[in-house]
Amino acid sequence: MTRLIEGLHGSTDASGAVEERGSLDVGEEVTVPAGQWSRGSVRTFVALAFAAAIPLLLLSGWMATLMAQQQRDQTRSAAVASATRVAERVSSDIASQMEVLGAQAASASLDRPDLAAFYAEATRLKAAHPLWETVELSNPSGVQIVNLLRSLDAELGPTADRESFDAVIRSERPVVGGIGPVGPISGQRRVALRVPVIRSGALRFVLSVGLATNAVSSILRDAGAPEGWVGTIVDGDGNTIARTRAEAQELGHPANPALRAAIMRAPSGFYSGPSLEGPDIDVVYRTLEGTGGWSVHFGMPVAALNAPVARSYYVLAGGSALSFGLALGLVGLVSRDMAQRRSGEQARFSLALRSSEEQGALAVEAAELGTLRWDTAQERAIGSVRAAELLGWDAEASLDRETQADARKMLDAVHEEDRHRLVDAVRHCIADGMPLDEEFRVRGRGGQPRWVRMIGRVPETFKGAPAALIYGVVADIEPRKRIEAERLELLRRLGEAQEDEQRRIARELHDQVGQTVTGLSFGLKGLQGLLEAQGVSGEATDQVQWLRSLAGEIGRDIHRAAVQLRPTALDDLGLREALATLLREWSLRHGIPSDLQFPGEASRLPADIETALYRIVQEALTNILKHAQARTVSVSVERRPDEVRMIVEDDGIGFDAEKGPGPVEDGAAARPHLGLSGIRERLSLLRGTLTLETAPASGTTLFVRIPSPPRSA
Amino acid sequence: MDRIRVVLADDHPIVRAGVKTLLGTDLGIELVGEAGNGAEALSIICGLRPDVAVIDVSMPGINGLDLTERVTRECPGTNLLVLTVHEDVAYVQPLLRAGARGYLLKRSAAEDLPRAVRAIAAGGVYLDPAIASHALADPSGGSRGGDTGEAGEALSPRETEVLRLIAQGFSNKEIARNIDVSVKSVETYKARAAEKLGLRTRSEIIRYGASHGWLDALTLR
Repeated sequence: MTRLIEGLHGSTDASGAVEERGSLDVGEEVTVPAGQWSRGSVRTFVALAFAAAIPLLLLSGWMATLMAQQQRDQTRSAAVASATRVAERVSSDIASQMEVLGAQAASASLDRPDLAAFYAEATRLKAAHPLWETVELSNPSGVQIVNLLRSLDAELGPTADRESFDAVIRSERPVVGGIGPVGPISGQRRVALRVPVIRSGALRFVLSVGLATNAVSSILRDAGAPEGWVGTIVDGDGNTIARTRAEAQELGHPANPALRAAIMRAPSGFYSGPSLEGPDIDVVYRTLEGTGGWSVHFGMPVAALNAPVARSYYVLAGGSALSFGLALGLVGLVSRDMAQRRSGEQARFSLALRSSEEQGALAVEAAELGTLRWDTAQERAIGSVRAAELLGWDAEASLDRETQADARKMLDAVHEEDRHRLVDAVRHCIADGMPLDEEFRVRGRGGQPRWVRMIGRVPETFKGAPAALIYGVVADIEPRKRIEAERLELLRRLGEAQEDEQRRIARELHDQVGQTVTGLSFGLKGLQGLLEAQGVSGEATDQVQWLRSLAGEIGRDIHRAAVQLRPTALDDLGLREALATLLREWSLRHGIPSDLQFPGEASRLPADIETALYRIVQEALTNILKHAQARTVSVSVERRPDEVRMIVEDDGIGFDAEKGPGPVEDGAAARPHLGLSGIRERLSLLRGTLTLETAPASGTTLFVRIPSPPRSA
Repeated sequence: MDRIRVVLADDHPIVRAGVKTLLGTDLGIELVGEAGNGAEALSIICGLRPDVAVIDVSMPGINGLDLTERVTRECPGTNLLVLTVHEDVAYVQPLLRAGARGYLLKRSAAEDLPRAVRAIAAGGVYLDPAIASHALADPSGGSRGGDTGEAGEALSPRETEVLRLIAQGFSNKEIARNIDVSVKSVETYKARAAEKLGLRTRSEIIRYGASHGWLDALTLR
């Protein structure tokens, strides 16, 4: 395509080379999308994998967290179960030993009492219970009477654990003591189980068992603490009785305040607080029944307990982070994919657009049309080279193949008589969205005006909104205009020649034939005189008389014929007199009154205009006579500074302007159309216009306007 | 009684001969000079100072109208009789205004020329009977309309406006657009106003308008 045009223009300049490259670009872009698509599908697959991985990651992280939490709860509930089990075990153990002790208290050996028998029984009992360190018998004042650690007769001091002893004295019921002070006999801290020995309603003795320090611990160990938990048994005063770890250091020491507070709060539950070893611990505890406020505690460091949960949190966080990364990657992939698709679409669009533009350009160039975008808001116009050439722009700024011009400069190049019309048409086009179609002259390179036609409209895309843009094509109509002008000139010359010929014949009739007839009538008059002088009368004189009247008629007919060809008055006296005569004669002949008005100055008009107006009135009168059934006719001719206006009005039946001329009654029989077209033809030669105003039963009015040069011309 | 001295100006020898023959038979009229064109006629008339000059309106050189004006101006003693083939009323008024005293058609000259010469020489005016009937008949019925309006019914402002625009040469459509009413209304206003003033045609309306100064703005530019 480009090469074809270059060939036509016969040049291969720089712009041609650019175009060549441009068309190669198009070719490349055709092949590129195929490669892009396979790469694109891999990317799509990756993106799908990413999209699937993100919820999986998040879900598994969540699951891990849930499972970790569940595990922690399980651990805790296992601890609770252990606590319960240990508590029951310890309780039952203690209770069974209390029972044994209660049975011993009811022994007959204490009835009298028989201390030796009791001593033997107690020794036997102690042997049966390895955890029993000692068995002691005290009187109500707290003085030991028997202690298995000593022989029967040995002098014994007061009992060690005074607190639990007092509790027995007070309640007269078995009591489980806490861990007591260091005993004077054993030199160790013991846990005392005490029962009252009641005979005949009075408390005689208190029977006690001192449990070995590690006895409760061994119960605790036997009950079995869950793995990882540290078990502790605390007495009613909050002192540690037994512990699964570091027992030696801790026994007898008061437990931490958090523990005590928890026991005060509820018989069982959870608490957390600093441990004896240092790190924070979570503790499950349970109070023992029938042990005087003992409680079992299982503690585990918070860190250890929460370790799996914390780990799962790390897993979750890691999964989230990874998901986020994947999501970012996915976004990147998708957006890149979209961008590439879009660029592919754009490439195809631009290809299609370019090919359609090429087709349009081919059509435009084949028709030798110039294309134009006219922005009236910015007063700029951008046009093709052809448009620039047709509109006579100086190549002000060339953009590729287009030329830009200032709208005012562009209008300056338009012929001044057409400029206003063009501006009006453009304004109308933009304001009302009407198509623009104007023919105007442009000052060409050689200064010769050249006719061009501009067809345009507001682009469809801007129709809704107010736009100040017109797309148009410019065509060279100079040849057509030249032919038109030639045709008009021919018509004008034809009309002129016809008028001249008619004028010549009319003159001939008047000046030659007319005068000859006049001479004839003078001659006949003379003949008549001669005959009369000779006394001839009768047939000869009658004959001469007849000939004279005949000559007179010939003279009149000649005049009439001459006037109909062309009234000499029009040349000699002007339009006003000629029209006055025409109307007067017409009225007399047809009995229709007429009226003529010449408002304003009665100066002569140019001959061609006078002739045209006269002929138009003639044609109008003919039409009126044929069709109008008028009662009066009125003609007025008014000379304005820049034009002549003539109005021919009748009060006849008129006609329906929509249906076309023709009397309503007669239908197609009459056609004054020919008359009107004759009038229009005549006016077109003088750039005049005819306006017709009529309606049935309201007469017909012709408005004729002919532009005329100023009076001085 | 003195014979009436007559000069004849006509470019057609046949006509001149005929007239000469005719007047030669009349004892009361003496043909003192002849001319074949306008310029010659002017010098002869002004030189001879006849009672009556019979002139053709369409002669080479000075045409009849100019000749009439110049003779009237330069030789006021001579009465002019126009002898013409132009049976055209259009010529009558301008010639009479220019100073001619008579208008005679050539086709009736053989009969009426002596009578016309005598009438004019006596200080009268002569019009050919064939022309007179046309010239006097006024098909428009005289200057009716221009001054009858004053007695008629008063016009409404709208009627006056419409009438003024009609007188100024606007079409009904243009008027309708101008004063923003329908064409039908314009016709109604026009008919009503015309009836009130007794104006029948547009020409009468124009005349009425001219007499009211409505057209000055347009024509006096």
